[in-house]
Amino acid sequence: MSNERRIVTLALALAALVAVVLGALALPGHGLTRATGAAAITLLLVALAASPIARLVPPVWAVPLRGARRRVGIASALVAAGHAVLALASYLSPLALGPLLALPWLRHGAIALAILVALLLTSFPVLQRALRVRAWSALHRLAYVAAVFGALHAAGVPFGSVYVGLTALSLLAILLLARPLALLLGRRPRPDAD
Amino acid sequence: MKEPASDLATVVIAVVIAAMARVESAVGLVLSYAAAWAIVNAARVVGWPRTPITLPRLVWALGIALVLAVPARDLLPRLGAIAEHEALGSPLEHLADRIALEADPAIAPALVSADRPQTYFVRASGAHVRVRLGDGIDWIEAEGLGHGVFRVGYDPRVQGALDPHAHETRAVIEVDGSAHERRLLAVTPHAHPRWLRLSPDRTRACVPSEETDEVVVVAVGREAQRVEALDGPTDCAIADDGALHVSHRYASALLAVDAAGTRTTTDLGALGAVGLASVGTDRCVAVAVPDAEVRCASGARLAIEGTPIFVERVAYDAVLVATRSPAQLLSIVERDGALTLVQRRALVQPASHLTVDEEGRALVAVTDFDVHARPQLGNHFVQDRVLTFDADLGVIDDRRTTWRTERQDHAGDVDRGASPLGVSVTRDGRLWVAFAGTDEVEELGGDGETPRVIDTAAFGVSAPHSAVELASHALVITSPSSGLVVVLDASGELAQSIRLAPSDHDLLADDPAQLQLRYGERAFYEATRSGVSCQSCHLHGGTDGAAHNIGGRIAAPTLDVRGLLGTAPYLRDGSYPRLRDLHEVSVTEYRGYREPAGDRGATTEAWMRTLPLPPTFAARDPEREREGVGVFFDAGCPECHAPPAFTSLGLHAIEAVFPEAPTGTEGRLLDVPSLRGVVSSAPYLYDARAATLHALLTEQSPTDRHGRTRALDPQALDALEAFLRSL
Repeated sequence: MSNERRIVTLALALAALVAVVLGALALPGHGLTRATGAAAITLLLVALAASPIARLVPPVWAVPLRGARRRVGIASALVAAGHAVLALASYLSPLALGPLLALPWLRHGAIALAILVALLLTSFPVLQRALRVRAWSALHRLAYVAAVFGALHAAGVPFGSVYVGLTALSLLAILLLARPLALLLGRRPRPDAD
Repeated sequence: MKEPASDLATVVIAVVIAAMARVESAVGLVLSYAAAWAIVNAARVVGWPRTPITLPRLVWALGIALVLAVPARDLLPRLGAIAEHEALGSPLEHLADRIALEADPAIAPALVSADRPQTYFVRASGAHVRVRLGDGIDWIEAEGLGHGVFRVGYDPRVQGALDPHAHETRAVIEVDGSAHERRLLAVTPHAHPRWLRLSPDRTRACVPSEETDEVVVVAVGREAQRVEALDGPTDCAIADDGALHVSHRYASALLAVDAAGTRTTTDLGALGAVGLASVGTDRCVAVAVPDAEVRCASGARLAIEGTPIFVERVAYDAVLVATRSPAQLLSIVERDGALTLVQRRALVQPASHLTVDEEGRALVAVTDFDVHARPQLGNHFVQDRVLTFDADLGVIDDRRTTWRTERQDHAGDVDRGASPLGVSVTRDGRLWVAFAGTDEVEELGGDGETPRVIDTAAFGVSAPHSAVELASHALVITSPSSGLVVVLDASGELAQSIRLAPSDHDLLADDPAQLQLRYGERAFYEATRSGVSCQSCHLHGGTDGAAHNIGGRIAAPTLDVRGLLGTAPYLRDGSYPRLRDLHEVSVTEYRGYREPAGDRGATTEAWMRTLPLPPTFAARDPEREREGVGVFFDAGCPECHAPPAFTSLGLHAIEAVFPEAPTGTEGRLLDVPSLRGVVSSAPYLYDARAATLHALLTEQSPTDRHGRTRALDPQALDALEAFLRSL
């Protein structure tokens, strides 16, 4: 198994573990929705952590981290979409778009999902060419914005523990601080061009 | 253009677009960025710029700074509005409250009040829980209800009280031998003399102070007498023989103290008496919760609808009871030893005070009235009045009390006659009214006559609640928020000042935190320039039990302000993360206050945080309650009403929980209310459409989205109701 696959597998395993634990702790009827939401934010945070970590590790890991980042990000967007579908089929089923966007924690989730879907669509070379995406990097920096809103969504959701959202926000804050720090401390060249 | 240049260009253009579009939401910011990215991406697609723009880095930096300066200047001040729109304005209170309630173990409410019995709930992962609420208080064994929910009953008279000067206590929760410390707010309320009662010969007046378990008897030319009462005296009466009779909220006995000082008690078998009156030779009380009734020392009882707030004798064998939820007057007579309801008069708003004149006519202070009992749909509509009812409960006089003087400095302002809380009638038919909203007592004349006004603030009397005239024409006035009773002589000069609590001056020196609470209490009662005060609807920190139009869309039931510590955000739609920010409503909607008085928002918040939950006095059936807890969990109630506070402090869209919600509620948000004290907060739901708990769980929950209660069998439903009533 290549290092890239190992990293992706590890990320998926971590997300699955978080999903199982939080899904099991959720109240009856919310388990699957909670599990998918937790998995989505976990995968997104892992994807965002890949770049700063890649600056600090040897190339044998830095290069596969770059490749894994894309795959984990795609997985995050897909799981988030699944989470939204589950929520729309249950708790949100009677809601029109207007009320959905009026509620801060739902609006934050919707913003995060919209960004992740946009990033998902522009993550495949075929679609990039079809959509004539040239400024890829500027668009994909929105992953941080998606993570912020995803974490706010998790913190505001009324069914679950506030600790989930707070943990996500804390990890995100660490990542945001780690990125410039890694830039300063990292002795290795950037493993990617973006 | 290379990638870093694209990234920078995108950010710069996004800032310019956001500033030009005057965005005020996160969605707007994201869309601005998306638009900027589209521009940059298009530039790269067409290959612009054809040749690299080579300039020194300093020039680039200066250029970008110049381009950003103007839009950034425009955008930065709006970041606060954006944060508010995203409910990020003041998230700390909300997060702190959620963290406290999600701790293991957690206890709620987070307040220890030294003046009354209180019930706490603990959620803990363990089998055996005991709690010590602070130093000087005994350990209390918690009663396990199942599903990790425990009930803790605390009575300061039994387990001991906190240091009266403490404003915080470290409670210890011991779960299976493991100790956990939690910080709780502590309060020892000062004396609050509220409504005066005259002796039959009008030579004396008595007033109870529920917080300090005493009754003060005032007589002109004599030292005021402070009589120790039982737990929570609510009303008093001086009989023909001079004996003092006292009803209590937290003691089931009536206390009688004769002229020689001999004390006797008569057990009524019920807690929660709110008022005392004689029916014939019998002493009767109006009991508010859990079951409203009139109950007499002779054993006579009559169940009544609504929550009684005042009871007055109108004839030898008849009393009048004023209730809220619904707002009404009930005429009750004693016939052959039994109490009978003979007449009912619906009101729009409940009585702020009820009194009776020498001829048995009832005088009622209200915040609004309509002869057909139709609720006024004007936004936050308040029109203070004093109504006079004849023996058949027909209205014979309707006197609006708010008026304006030359002190006003804005058109439409009122500065007199707001929040009439105490009405009394002299022997010759003159009317004294205490106005808590405008710090005054007025002697109301006939139609068109300018009232005689006594500015009570001049005597240190803030938010007066009651004013009665003794036979000597001396006027006795009470101020709960100042812990003060004053006696004015016939000429209006101060004759006696009976201080039951430290003065403001002493508090400033010895206990500034307690002074802040006092200021907050006064601000709560103080009328705005529009005549509306917090008190107008949230009667004495509780609720008027009525529905009000608070924004032009639906009439919503008034929320009870008591017990809200640790339950941010606030208001029905959770739009205020901090209580103090509600002050802006009084400024923007009600034109603010006439007098400057420091930070009313902060002081009112401090006071409201110290209001304990209303007592429920539910008859306990632990086995049934345990069964009810099981049903509560099986029905999914803790998804939103999570123990120990019985709220998750979450926000929901109305249609998500109530898909059957009427048109006009789209997009409205619901803050999950706590279920503590739910038995006394009817009517229920956001639009008051469920009159009872049973209705709330059955016909008003047709889709099972507000708890899975539709399929519950009667026994399970009964157990669930029993548990809810015990909260």
